[in-house]
Amino acid sequence: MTQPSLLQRPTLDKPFAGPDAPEEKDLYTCVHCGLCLTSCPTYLETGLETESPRGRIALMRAVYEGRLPLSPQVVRHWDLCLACRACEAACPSAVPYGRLIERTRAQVRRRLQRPLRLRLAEAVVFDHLLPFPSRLRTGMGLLRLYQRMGVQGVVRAVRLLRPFPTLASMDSLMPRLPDHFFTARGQVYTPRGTPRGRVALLSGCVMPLVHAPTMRACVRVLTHNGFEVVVPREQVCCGALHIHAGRLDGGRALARQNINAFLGCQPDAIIVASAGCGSAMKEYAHLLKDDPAYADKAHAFSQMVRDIHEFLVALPFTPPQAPLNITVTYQDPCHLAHAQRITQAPRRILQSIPGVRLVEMHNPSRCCGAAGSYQILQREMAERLGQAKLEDALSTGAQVLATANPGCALQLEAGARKRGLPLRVAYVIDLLDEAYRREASAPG
Amino acid sequence: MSFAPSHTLGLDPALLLPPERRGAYAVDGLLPSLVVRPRSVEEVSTVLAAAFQEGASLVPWGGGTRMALGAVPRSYHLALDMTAIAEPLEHSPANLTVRVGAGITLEHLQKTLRAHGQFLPIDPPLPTRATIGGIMASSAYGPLCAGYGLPRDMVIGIAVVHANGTRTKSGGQVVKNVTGFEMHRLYTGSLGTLGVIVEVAFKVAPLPKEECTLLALFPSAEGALGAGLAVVRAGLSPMAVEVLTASAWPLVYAPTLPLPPKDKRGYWLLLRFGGPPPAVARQERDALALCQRYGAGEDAGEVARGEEARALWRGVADFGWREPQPPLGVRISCLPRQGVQALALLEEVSSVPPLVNPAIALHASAGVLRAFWSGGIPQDAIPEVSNALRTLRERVHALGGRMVLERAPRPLKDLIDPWDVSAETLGLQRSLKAQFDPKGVLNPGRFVGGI
Amino acid sequence: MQAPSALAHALRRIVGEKYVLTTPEALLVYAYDGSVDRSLPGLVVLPGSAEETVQVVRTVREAGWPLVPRGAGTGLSGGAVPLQGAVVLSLARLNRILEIDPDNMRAVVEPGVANLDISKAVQPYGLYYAPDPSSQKACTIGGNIAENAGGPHCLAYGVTTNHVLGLEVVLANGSRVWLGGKLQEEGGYDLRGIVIGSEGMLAVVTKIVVRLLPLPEAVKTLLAVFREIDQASSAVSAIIASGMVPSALEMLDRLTIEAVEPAVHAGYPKEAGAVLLVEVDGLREAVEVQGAQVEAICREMGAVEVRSAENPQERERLWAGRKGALGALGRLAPNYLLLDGVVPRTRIVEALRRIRAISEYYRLPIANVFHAGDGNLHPCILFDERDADQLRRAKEAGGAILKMCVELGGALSGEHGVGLEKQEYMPLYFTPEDLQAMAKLPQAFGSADFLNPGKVFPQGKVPTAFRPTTRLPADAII
Repeated sequence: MTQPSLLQRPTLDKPFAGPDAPEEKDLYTCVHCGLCLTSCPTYLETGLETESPRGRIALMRAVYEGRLPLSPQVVRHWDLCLACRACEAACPSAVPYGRLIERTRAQVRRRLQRPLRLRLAEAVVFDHLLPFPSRLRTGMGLLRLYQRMGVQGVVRAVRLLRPFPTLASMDSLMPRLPDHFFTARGQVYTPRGTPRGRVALLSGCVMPLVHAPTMRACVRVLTHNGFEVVVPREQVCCGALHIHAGRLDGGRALARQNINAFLGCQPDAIIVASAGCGSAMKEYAHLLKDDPAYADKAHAFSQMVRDIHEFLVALPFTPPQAPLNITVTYQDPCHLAHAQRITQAPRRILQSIPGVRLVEMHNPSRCCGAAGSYQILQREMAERLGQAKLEDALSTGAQVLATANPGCALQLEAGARKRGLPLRVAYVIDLLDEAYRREASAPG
Repeated sequence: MSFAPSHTLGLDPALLLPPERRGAYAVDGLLPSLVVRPRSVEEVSTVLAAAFQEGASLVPWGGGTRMALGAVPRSYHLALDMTAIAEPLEHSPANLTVRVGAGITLEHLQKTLRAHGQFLPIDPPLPTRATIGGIMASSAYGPLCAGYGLPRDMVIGIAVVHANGTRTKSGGQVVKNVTGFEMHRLYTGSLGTLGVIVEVAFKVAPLPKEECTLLALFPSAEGALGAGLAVVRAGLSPMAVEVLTASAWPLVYAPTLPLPPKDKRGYWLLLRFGGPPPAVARQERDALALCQRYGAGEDAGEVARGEEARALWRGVADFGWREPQPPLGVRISCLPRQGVQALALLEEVSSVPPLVNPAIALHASAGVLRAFWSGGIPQDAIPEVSNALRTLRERVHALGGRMVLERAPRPLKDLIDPWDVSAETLGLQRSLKAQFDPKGVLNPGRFVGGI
Repeated sequence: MQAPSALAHALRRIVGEKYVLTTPEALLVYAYDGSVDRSLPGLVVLPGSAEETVQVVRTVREAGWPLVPRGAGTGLSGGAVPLQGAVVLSLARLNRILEIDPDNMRAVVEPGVANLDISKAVQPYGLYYAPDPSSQKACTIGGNIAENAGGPHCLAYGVTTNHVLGLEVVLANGSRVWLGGKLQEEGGYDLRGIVIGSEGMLAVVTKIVVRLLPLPEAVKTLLAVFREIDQASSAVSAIIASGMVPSALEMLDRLTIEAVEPAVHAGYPKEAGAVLLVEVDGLREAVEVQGAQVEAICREMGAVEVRSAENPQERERLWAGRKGALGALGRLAPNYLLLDGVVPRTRIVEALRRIRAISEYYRLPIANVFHAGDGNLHPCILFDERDADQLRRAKEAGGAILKMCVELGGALSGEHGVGLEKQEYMPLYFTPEDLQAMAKLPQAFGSADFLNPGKVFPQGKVPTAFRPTTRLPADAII
């Protein structure tokens, strides 16, 4: 009945090895006190210890010590993790959970044959699309065509994609694409008024395509506050999605390219509008710490990275004068609130806009279920969390649900669209930009 | 079981009281064969072991103030007078705790504590006679339950002697303790049916620096209760929140007291506050405003302080218990808000003679009403009274409440169960009794469900 | 005893496929709680309602398996660790707040609700649930009932038993009954009072009526710095003796301060030998008076500095050192052993002196960070388990401290419970007769050898209390 080997005698090979294995020191920092449980969205949804941070670490430890074989059954529990890192903020022992799950995923990729369908899909996305901005742009251009020609409507109407759940969920997430993408061509935007400095802007991979107007808003907000904005031409995807999926080497390659691209234009700060990207870029230093050629540069780079809200509030930014007269609720992106511990800056920006009434949700910092590729690969849990988030938002009576991350924005837009909710999803920066522009166009 | 009064269980004659004293130990008209008054815990243990051996039933006695409580004993051989267990009395002022022998009276204990500016915040009736053991066994409390809770909340340890003479303890002298099961809560309110309490440890409280009592007269019960509960909700932390009907006053205090004007009709709300002087001033001010908002007359707020207030609260705590004791009394528990409905039920039942004009007092924030009927109950009215009480109990149940007879003539107790507990736990309660007192010698028949 | 597969099958028919766990990876994560002990369950079942719980209890009972109820598994004494390959009954899915009755200041909740979520839910009514164990964000009210949990603010407001009026429970025979209820007091034996603190050995709780209190309108936190720990201890006694009961009264000793300062930057002066954290709450007027009084007493007792805070941010800063203390201590040595013995408040000075002597005798550093207001010590013995002799000395020092607590008139555990950790030390405190009397409860409830067997009572084994842990839950206020 009992299996003592599960608790004691290591009987198996130890499958975690190599430079990217979870570090023993990190694994043993956890004292299984359980204070993380109620911060974990998947634990709250399921009530299962297996779907909690403490449980996942216990499984990592068991596999690490050779008490439990690395099997698809075990991996399932790590796969269901959103890597939202809400548990890190709750942990009294400072367990670096994000690092542990990334490295565990790297080990899983290395050791375990995943289903062909998944491997193919991942290979396409991670090896052939994300690293190449031009391919992404072309792909999105085709998609835009697909939308504009009415094909999407037909496809959705006849449920053509039903046999392909991954494609179907990608399709359902896709908002109406903008007429013009935001492309990094090495542009330099001149500041308004007296120049205060020079910043380099990450354009990112998905955001300049699906949320191009927000990227333009970022540029306007920064120039409005007196900054010259450079958009380095050679920049690529930040690598966050690779890293979260345990493809650390792929992430490192992208990191090196970005370091070269950004340090090359000698900015005062590197500004990031996407929470997920900012979090990954602040961690380049750790990612490349064992690369003698890049360790120092990565450290310098990470020191310069600023989330745009963090940057603006620290300036401080010029408060807008024109009112918006809307009720807004703010959803904390996990990679802003938990990974970067930035919760007040976006709220301060919202509160600075005349006429904006900020009403808090019950659980503003609970993951919305987007979590990068999670919303595509773990559709069911993502849907449950998205639904809960939207209900929470609706209960505030807000007209606008503000956020600060493309994954969250896509997930929430798709959910609101699907249910036909009277809720506009916007970036905090969009709203600030609107207020600035209204001010400019105001008579007198 | 045959048990002759001459049979002394082989006990040391020095422990026995002379037979002529037996009259003072009647329970529901029954007299014991023997009265034993042990002088130490060892002697209590010896007596219980001897009685257990013989299967002799016994009724523990403290000050005898609440012996009217409960059902008629199934058998009654020994009265165990615990009043000589006067040790220890160990007060540790800096620890805010006290250890006290079961036979010590509450007033004696309070005097010791007061000398150090502290008190045990439990104020059951008749403290000069009520003993600590009796108070704990019957879970007796008074108006202070609003601010401090019940006896079960103040107890931190208890020592008992079990039916077979074994001595055990639980808890201790520390205010925070989770070492072992909380047996002391089990013994609290168990009416001596699981063991005889010989020693109790309490956490005690500092006496407030200043006190003040506010009296307000309301035209309606809703107003008085509403104001009382609003004072609690507002965080004004009253020590006591008592609502009295006009007819309650004669049972409350000695006629020499000037407060309050007894001729005024209506419902009185009595609020007791304590704390640092500026806080008490604020409590008084805010409470008065709330009373006025709930319909108290502009001039109805009277304030009592010092000796006057102490005597008033003493009188309220003794409500229904001073001589001459009314022959019939009930205690109704309900949700605090339902106090008004429960009050209405009591007034309704009181249209049946001889149940007219009950004196009613509420621990308002606790949802506990006490009603006493002072008139005599003629023998031939017993069936009718019993029916009326049964109807009252049914209506109280419909509110989700409970009704216990605090005091009733024996013929009435034969017709209506003085206790009122949910039937679903009786099996569990009986099996507890069987574990602790397998022969059923401790207070047999007096507790719930015939325990 | 029925075969595991047959039992699993029967249980799946009650709770559904997803909520009976039998795989090795699932069993493994239910083998522990927040303490050091581990033991694998036979299987894990998670009912979704009280009705399902009844059927689960009946089915497991009929199958002849023992059963261990579990909340969030944050306990620190091994209460939720399943012995004998027992079935773990997780109540995590019973997590609804069923009723809030602001008028009567009560709420009805299910056992899987997190402690803090009750206060959050009733906060709009200006109410809160008072007991606040340090794990209150995660620990469940059901687990709080099993352990009769406390917290820093129980000094003024009392522990779980003082705030729970009624319990709906499933008894070992599968019947579902209410013990107590919404009323202040129900008649008969206080069955509610004995199930609270019974460490899951008497019944499975499925609903709880809690009492709520009005939120205090003002809170003031003071931090007093002393050169000598005896001065701080005297200040504790003086505050209690002055006729007030602060809502919290916590102490950190020199070793703790040395560990905390570099980690948390709480701003404690280096020369500090002890720090007191005192909180008073209630009416503004009372808080003002008592705050001033606390400050005066601390200064009189030799405090070199007293700081105060009245807004939430400042309060948080003052508490930071206290809350980060155990996490910081974990960095001083690879292992530490944490006890939660309690002594009368009058004996704190002596207890700390004797802990110092024990520390010197066993040549191991011992840090103290604890609930001084109620005498609830938390000595942390720092050591390195890789050194066998240190390990032995740490265990012996732990035993010596527990003995000392009992000798000074205290007890073995102030708030963590006995569980597996201290069961072999029970004879230090209780006579065989005391323990026999307690053992009558599982007999009367019919739960002996069925619900959470092998806990609380000494089993004649080598004490497990002092099995070392790499690090302990770092969060502070244990």
